[in-house]
Amino acid sequence: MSAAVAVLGSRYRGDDAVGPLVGDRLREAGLSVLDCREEPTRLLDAIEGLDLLVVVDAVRSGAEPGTIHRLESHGEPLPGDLALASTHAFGIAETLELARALGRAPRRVVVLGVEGARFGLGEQPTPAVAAALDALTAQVRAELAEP
Amino acid sequence: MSEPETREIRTDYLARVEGEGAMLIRLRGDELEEVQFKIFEPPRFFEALLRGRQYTEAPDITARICGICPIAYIASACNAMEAVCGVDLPDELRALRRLIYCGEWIESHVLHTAMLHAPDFLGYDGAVELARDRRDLVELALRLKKAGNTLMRVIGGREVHPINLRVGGFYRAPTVSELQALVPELEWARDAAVELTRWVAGFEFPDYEQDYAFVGLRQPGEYAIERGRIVSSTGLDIDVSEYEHHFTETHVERSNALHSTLEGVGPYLVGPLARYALSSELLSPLAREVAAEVGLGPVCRNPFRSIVVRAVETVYAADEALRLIAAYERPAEPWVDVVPRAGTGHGCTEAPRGICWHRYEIDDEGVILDAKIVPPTSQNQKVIEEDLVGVVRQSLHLPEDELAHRCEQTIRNYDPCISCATHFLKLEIERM
Amino acid sequence: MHEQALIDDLIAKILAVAEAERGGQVVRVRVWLGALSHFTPEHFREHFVDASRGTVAEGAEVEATVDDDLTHPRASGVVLESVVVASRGNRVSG
Repeated sequence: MSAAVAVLGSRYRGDDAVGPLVGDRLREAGLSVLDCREEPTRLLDAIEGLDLLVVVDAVRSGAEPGTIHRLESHGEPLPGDLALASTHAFGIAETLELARALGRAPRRVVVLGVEGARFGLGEQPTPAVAAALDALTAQVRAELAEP
Repeated sequence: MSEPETREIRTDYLARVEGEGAMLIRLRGDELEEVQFKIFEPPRFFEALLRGRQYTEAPDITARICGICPIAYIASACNAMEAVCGVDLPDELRALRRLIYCGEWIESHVLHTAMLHAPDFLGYDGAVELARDRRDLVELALRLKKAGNTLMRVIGGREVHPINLRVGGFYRAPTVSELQALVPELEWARDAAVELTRWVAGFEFPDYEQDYAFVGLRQPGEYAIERGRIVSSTGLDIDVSEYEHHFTETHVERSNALHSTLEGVGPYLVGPLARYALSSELLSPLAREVAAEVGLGPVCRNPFRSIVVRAVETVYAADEALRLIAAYERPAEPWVDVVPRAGTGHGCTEAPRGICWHRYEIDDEGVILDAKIVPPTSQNQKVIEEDLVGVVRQSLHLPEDELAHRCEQTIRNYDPCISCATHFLKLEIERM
Repeated sequence: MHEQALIDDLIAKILAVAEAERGGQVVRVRVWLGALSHFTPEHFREHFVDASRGTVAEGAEVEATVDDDLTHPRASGVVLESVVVASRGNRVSG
């Protein structure tokens, strides 16, 4: 099975760092990670033809900070309002929709969206988000391990 | 005792937060009462982060300010450090810096033009809807954008966060054959950019012009990208080190936003419209030909048409990249030694969105004592606000959602993502 | 913090309204909490109590309506619907 992990976000914007921080942990564990910072359309070429793509990103939907939202798609649009909640101008939901429109979508996509509360330059992640990093890293690995 | 007499005052007031990107339009009846636009978050965090670090670290640290245009920050920081240390970059290394910058122009301009701005003109919500109807165009744009990415990766080591650039040049210079291998795709990209220009030039543009003061770099003999003097359409012509004598950032009342103004002139515009107005005759013959074909005069004052100018600049960037590759000889040394000495240095380059200006003060050991960074979007903030006032006045008859859309479109004339300015943009229309 | 900043902005607006009403004590405020606003009524009240301390809004009753429509255009917002101010004037009640 071909699978990849992509992380999104800026290390310097509070809770937006959650993607890159999880990426660090995964790399330490020997996994390779696609890092597209704040520009998810960079994923379009890398994800073509994959069986599974796992995405980690910060979202803002109004839930408690640190909440992990899990969305899964088998070729249909991602459920829920994550398109609205993405912290990026051209968000991950749009990027995946674009991949679908262009026939480049992975067979299965799992988005782990971590609820963030602050996104200012130079801010630290909120404690609840920092505390979710271990669980999140484990969840990414579990997603990859699933057949 | 009787109940105290009370009065209920209806407010219907939406709470808002300063410090995030926000745009508020307040209408009283059919009169525009106020436009508040605030997207710019000064990079104070990075300026503070730079103090106490080595002069060689500035390019790498500032590259993180914007996920879309790292080369602009790297190049401006390198220029400033080389200036303070009295180093003049040899021509071949200067050309290589210009070449990777062409890659960034292609990538950023195509993302902006095709993926974020074009859907506005065609009545689509975004690139996804566009892709469903015009898959060919979106495929073309993605391949074009990728040609820019590839150029950045081959020279910069990585496309997302280039690591091969340093004060004084590069860690490793690409071989001639590595660059030659890019030629076929860049030739395709040049043609594709011409097609892109013809396509966007056929859009319908709102009839809106503003008499801007244009500010940009100008360099004899070439369309300025990675160096030049700061010039304006109002007659300014200064070395980049004199910037602070002529430009000021003022705090806007009731917010922590800053507005940049040019002394004796006021608000000014940087970016494609400005560059084009100041130097269009220095574009390559092909880019000039395409500009003429699609009806761009020597100056364009309609900000909605900036999408056309961006496309013409994409033609130029591909054309210029091919010229630079054809002339490339691998330098004997990929970098020149830059020995620190105490002083202040300035650097300014043409980021895709306009001039990106840096100043650093370092000591004899190369430790950064002070840093100041002025990104393009901060400079455009005031003219964006003025555009919004003008556009809203023209569009008051529109239903609210269309008015909101027109405002977003106006903002996207300048910045697709606001990523180097702020993270979220909330648009609020308040009718009183 | 996001919530704190929102509350501060609301308090400023409430005080401005009270001021316009010649400085009467604020008896009650009615707020509308959007589905994505981060606030529960309890959460909001807690913040309000802290932020209003020492102002004419201190002790005001908070009447909070929670909206659960995620697609409401103001879903991420908090709206101050009205402010009830004790009259100081010599108006005769009806």
